[in-house]
Amino acid sequence: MTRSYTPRIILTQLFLFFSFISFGQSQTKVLFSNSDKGQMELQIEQSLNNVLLEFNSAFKASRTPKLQNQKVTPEGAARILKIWENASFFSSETLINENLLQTTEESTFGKGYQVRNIKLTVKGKDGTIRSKNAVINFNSSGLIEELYFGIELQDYNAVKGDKQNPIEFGRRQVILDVIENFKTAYNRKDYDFINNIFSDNALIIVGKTIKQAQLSDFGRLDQKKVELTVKTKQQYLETLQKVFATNSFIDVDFEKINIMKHPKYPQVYGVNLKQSWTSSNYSDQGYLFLMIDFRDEKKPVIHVRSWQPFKDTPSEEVIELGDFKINN
Amino acid sequence: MKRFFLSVLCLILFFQIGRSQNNEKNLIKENLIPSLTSDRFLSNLIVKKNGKPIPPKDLKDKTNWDEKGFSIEIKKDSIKWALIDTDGVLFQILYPNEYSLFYGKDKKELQEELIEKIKFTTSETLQIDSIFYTPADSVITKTLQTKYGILKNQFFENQLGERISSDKLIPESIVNSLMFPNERTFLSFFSLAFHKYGNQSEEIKVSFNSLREGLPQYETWSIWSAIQGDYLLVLFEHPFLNFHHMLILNNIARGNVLKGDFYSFIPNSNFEELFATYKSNKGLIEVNIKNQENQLD
Repeated sequence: MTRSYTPRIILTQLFLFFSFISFGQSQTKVLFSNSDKGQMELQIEQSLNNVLLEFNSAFKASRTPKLQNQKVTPEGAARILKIWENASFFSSETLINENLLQTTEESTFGKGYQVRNIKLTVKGKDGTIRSKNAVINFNSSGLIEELYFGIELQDYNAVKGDKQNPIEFGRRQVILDVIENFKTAYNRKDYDFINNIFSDNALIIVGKTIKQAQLSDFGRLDQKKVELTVKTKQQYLETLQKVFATNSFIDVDFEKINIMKHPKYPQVYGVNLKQSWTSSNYSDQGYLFLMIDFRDEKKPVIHVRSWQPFKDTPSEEVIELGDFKINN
Repeated sequence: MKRFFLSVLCLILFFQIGRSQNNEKNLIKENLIPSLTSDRFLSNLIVKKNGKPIPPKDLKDKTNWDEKGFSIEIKKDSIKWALIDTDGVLFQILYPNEYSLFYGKDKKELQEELIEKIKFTTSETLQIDSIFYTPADSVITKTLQTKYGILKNQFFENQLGERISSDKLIPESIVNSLMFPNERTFLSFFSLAFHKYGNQSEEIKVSFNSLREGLPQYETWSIWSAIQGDYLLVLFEHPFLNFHHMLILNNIARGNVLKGDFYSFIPNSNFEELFATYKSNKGLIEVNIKNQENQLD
């Protein structure tokens, strides 16, 4: 582990060292990439350029930044100087292209503006040098109110697909919760729950293994084939009610759950899993597929349930979300 | 492997604390004996009597266990009891590591217990803490571990090494409050939609203390979090059983009452791929999710 990281650490240190000795250029130009260059945007752009220039000059001269002539509120200046007591910093960038964000009254930051991801080189009291991303808040008059070093860049620029999106991750956890409730309903023989979670015209697909006799040169051969039949919700529930009545207990278990989102209907998910069913007088294993609709988050519904026998279904024939054409 | 050793360690701690705090608390009485009345539980067991396999139903309603002479070995996928009955006969009981089997109660029953516990302690402890801020001029993320590439076992400090507790960094302050329950915080309580079995949810007010009270031996649980803007997701992972609870706080803003959603007893070992890839196949089956007229071509 040490060996693999050492070159990276050395490269980082070298980069920071060269940043350190070459920052003499001092001037960092900030351009807002999303701004329509109104008066306030231009003022903030200019304020930021000036204050970064002052940070660079102060760092070079090993002095405290002079903020009294900058567009910084007294409270903001006090905060920046407090940070400076513990760590001085400068910008080695010649050009910073970032968005100017507007923050509302209700937001954590109050009404004003915000610029994130301003890359600064920070020198701690102990001499350690690190590259960090600063966040600068402006009040509604365009004065700098606060500077702080934000959480790592990737946390805020995280939306690189669902896997990096906490909101989407949370949704998938809610799906696991729904699946666990669904399983619990069978174990509790809770007819009402199952009745409520299926949409009124849910599609129920049931696979059944049939043996087909075939004649060949070598005589008669029995081939197994899985035949799919479609049932209505009502037919399925009637069968289920009989199963509940004739079994003293039911133990359903789910494993190998896979969750996928529909590309066109992002609130519709497909769930594939392996179901093990054990009850007083019957047991089996099968591939279960559920199409779950989260358009009403408080009341997800299942539009499709398919079951195929585990033993006789080739994996490429397992039903999944891509097998359905959704009409809305 | 590391997780296993940690789990065993936590388990030992769990029982020691449990026993020292309350001598009457007994896992055999509270968990095993009620479970043995359940056919569902019995269908999941492998049982040995003096080293030889016997049908699990032979243990149905058995109660004459020596309540002091037992051990439990918990692994990632199984739980094994070794017990002696009052006649001196040795039994081994093995079943999957699933919370409902261990507790002898299903998700619905456990949720009802949890919500009652949180509500009860809320009424005992709800009070507004005095304001206690730390300057949040800078944020340093201390990440202890990561999980699923998105969640972190983390906390936040400022440049002075003080824990962040600031109304300008509420998500970070909440995570710190959950990670360090004994430290003071300006945060007091939040409004929670407790999601229950059967598409129901109950609105309750919860203090940070009461939430922790609902999770016995809170210090042994792993706290995982992810923050994106004003959205905070926290997983409370049980130290040795395969489940977690999830807290989601949305629209976190200064001056607002904190509002959240709480999902409990979510299994965390039964999935293969949370983000499976969609494959467009033949599209043979038409589903109408509006008018709900379905047909198989």
